[in-house]
Amino acid sequence: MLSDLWMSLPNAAQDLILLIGLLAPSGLIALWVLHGLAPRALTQAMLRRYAPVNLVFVGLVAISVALGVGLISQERALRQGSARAADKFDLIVTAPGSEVTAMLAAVYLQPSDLPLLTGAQYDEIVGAEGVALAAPLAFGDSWQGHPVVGTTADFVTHLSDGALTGRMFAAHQEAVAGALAPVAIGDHVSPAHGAIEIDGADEDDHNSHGIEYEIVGKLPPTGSPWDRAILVPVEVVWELHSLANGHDAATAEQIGPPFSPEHFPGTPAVVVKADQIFQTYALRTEFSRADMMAFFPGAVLSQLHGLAREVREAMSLLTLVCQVLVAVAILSGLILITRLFARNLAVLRALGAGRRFLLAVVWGYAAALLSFGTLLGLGLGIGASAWMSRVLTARSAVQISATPGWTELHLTAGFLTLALICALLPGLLASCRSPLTDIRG
Amino acid sequence: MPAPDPVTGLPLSLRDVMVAAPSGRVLLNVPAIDLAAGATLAVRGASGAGKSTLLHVLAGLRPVNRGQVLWGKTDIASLSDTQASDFRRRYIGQIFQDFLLFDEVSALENAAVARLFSPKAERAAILERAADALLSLGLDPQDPRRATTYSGGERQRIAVARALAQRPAVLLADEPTASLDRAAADRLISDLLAAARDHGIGLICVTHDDALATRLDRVLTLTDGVTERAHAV
Repeated sequence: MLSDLWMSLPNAAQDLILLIGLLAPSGLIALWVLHGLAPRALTQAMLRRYAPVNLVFVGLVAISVALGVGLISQERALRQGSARAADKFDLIVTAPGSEVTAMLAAVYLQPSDLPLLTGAQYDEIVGAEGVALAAPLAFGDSWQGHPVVGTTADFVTHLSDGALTGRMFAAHQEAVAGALAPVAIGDHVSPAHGAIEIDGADEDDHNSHGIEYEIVGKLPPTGSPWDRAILVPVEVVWELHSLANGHDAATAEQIGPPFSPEHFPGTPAVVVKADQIFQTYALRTEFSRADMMAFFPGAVLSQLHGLAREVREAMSLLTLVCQVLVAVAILSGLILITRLFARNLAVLRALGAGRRFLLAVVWGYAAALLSFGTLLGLGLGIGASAWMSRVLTARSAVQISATPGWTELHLTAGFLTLALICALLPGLLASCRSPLTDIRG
Repeated sequence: MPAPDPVTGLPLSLRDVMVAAPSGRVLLNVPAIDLAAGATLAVRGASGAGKSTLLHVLAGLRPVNRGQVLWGKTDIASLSDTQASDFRRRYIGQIFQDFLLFDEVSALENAAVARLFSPKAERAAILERAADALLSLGLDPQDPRRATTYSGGERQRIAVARALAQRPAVLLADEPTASLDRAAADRLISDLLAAARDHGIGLICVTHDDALATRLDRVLTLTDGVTERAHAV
């Protein structure tokens, strides 16, 4: 009954209830310890007396919480970013080999040496039932470190969801640039052979193909490495590498399909989109055979994410151990610091304060340090993760955006509650000490 | 909860009080002490004679092995820890040799510290009395300076104001002038006696200071925990 009710709630409601549930013990403890008392002035006095030591405590808590928060949010951002980047790639067909290598090349434009599919194989893919799009890719060139990729206009349209700025390439020396490529419509770029990382410098004359593409269109942002690429007619890439251009003599100037199997020089990967989703599965089965390999990038990513999850879990365990060690160190420190206040606390007992008031003062002091450190750590973790996302996005062009998630909030709330429960210990120890011993100093 | 009625002193009666250390050594052995409400008493004796033990017994901070410590009709020695704390808060003000203030807060916050652990209904009155006590002792309650910036004499006057803010029936002072120079000590003695007289508060001082002892109603001398004599000055 309760289980059904729980399952019927929206995810956000479940997360919110869980968060409240994790924080509730903290609230109940605070209520139990503080009700009817006003220890704030003395708690503040304790915070002021050893401010540098208190700042160290806050820093330690913040760092340990930030590590956990940053790790979780960054891992999720990487997972979501890499999955988003593969969204446009339903099915990839390549020659047999490593799925991971093929995916890194086709989806993430990582330089690699892939075996080629022949013209006959490509023709078979194009002609298969349910294939709506079968785009050959041609790699090997770059401009100022930006990959220059040969493909078809249909694939560019597929990538852009029809939201291209400018127009599609329609001639041999025209190109469409990704959203993050540092060129504008009307600019000219001169590609070079290989994936040369030259930032803002002229291409090496020895590698230059000696031609120029005019940028005629720009893709909207896709959140994938294709945003950094320059997309050109696949025929031109083949020609620049002294290969047949996919068309016979009569159609030599044609851009795009159909290609002639006899004049098709080979492609390392074909991006396939089916008319219907279920047909994608049938196509994968059809082309998973001895001379071809078909795979879903999403499934390969899922396997990689599975491996990453194990790494994350190991790191999470280490972070947890780190947090426990920090908490133990801080509690020990708080117990020691509380001893330094022993005379003041004994005076309070002599003046008529009950044990619960001493518990309230010391717990309030510990709770202030732990709460501030935890909140600071949450902010630091989110900030550090956002910064790291920007760095990774700039380096990979995979749009990685770390945003605060419920998991981090739940873990932070759990840590805070546990820490506040443990913070009762120095308070209880202080309240149980004999004022007679301490009052003499 | 309404604030308790003003208290103008409680009579003290000790009956057959014995306190022993865990080793069995007798720390205090008092057949009888009687002190009228509002009376003042000096407790004297050599170091280790049991003066502080007596003060702690009177405050209900130290359990007794035997006997009764009656403040009015209340035997503080028989109260639970919580009840004894509550009794101290209501009826006993304490002053210590080393002042024992919270250095990080102002004179007023120190003097009114009891409001932090008193029922909400009493807090405003405690704050008001703390300010009045500071003023009457020559200190500015609005001065935001931290307690640590005051001189020794001023700090002890803040401690007196703290004790008076609780509107006690009796003040227990442990060597209140020991950390002060002569001039500051003399001023404090005058202030203490004036406060006790003006408010009808009893005053029991453990002291080696003749100038203080001779101005109190009676002197009690302890030797090895045993009452030697109690006489009118």
